[in-house]
Amino acid sequence: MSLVAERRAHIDLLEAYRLNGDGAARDRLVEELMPLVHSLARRYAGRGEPYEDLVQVGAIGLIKAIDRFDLERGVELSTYAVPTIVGEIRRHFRDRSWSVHVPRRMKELSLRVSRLVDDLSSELGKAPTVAEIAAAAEVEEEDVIEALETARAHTTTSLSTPISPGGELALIDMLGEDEAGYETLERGSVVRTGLDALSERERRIVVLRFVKGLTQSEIASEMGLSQMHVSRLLRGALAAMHGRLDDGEGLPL
Amino acid sequence: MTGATSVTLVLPAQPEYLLVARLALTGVARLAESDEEALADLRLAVTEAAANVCRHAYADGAGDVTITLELSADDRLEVVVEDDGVGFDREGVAEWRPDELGEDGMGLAIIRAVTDDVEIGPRPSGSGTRLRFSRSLRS
Repeated sequence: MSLVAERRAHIDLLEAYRLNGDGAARDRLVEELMPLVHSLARRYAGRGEPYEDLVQVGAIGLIKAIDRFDLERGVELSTYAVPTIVGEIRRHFRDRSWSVHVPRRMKELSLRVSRLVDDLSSELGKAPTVAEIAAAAEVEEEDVIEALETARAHTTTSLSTPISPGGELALIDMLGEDEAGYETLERGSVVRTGLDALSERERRIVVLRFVKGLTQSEIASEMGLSQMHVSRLLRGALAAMHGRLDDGEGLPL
Repeated sequence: MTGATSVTLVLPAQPEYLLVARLALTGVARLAESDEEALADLRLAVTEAAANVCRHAYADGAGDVTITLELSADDRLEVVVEDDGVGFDREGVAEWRPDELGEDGMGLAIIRAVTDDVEIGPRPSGSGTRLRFSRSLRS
C-alpha cells in the first residue's frame, strides 16, 4: 500500500469508529499502528522493564491517541500518537519508581561485573573486554561501562571509611579536607608526602594499620611491641603526618 | 555548580560511535546529579539525533557529527547536534510526517516528546544541519 493510500485507510477507519461507533474499525487501526508502538518500546528496552510490558503500556498510549485525535487537525494520526505513546511508556517507568530503581540496578550490576571480571580473567587468561563482560552478564556494553565507572567511584570513596582505632579518624582527615572520590587517587602522593615525615618504624606501623588493615594488636604481635606502645606510636605518627600536611609542604592544593 | 560546563565531541557519523555520545552525555549529566528519568530522556534524544545524522547527513557515508553538551547554571542540559552534510529542506522539516519520513520523522517526534524547545535548521555557517534541544535535569 502506498503511504497516501495507507493514510487514507487510517482516516477511513478512524471515521468509521468515531462517526459510526465501529469498534472493529478501531481494533484494525490499533493493529495497523502497532509497529509504531513496537518501534518506540524498543528504544526504552534494556532499562530494567520487560519489552513486552513496554509494548502493552505503549498500546494504551496508542488507544488514547486514537480516541483523542482531532479529525479536523492537519496532522498525521501517527505523528500525533508518538508523544502520547512515549508519555505512557515514561509514566510506566515513573510508576515503577524508576529513579530509585536504576541506580540500585547499577550498583547491583557493578558488583556482578566486578565478579565477572575476576572470573573471566582467570577463564580467558587475560583481562576481558567490555564486549566479553557484556555477553557474560547479558546486558548492553553501555551498562557495563557505566557499571565499571560506578565500581571505580565506589572503591575510591570507600577509602573515606573510618580507619583510626576508635573510628574517630578517617583517611580523609589525614588529608586535611573533604574530597570527592575521584580525587583520592591523585592525592595518594599527598599521603606519601606525609609518610616522609615518619621514622621507618612509624611508617611501617601506619602502612600495616591503614594499608594492610591490621588491628593494633596484630601489629603489636608482628613487631614484638605492646598494643599500648603501638597505639602511642600510631598517634604520634598521625600527628607528625598532620603537621607535615598542614605545613603545606608538597601540597598542590 | 557555578557557570556553565560545556563539552564538545566530534565523532565520525557512524552508528558505532553513538555509544560514545551517550556515555559523554551521561557523564556530564551526572556532574549535575541529574535524576535518572531526565538522564534516560536525554540519552534517548541524543541517540535519535545522532542516528539521524548517521543515516542521512553524508551521501558518501563519511563525515563527522559534532555534539555539544552544555550544562547551564539552572541545571538544564542543552544538546546541539551538528553535521556538515547535505542539509535538508526547511519546509519539509517544519511539517515532517513520520509516515513520510520514516525513521527520521520518528526520531524527531521522539526528541520533541522527551525534551523541550527543539530547534532544527541549517548551521550558522550555512551548510549542514543543526539540531538543538534542552531539558531540565530534574523531572
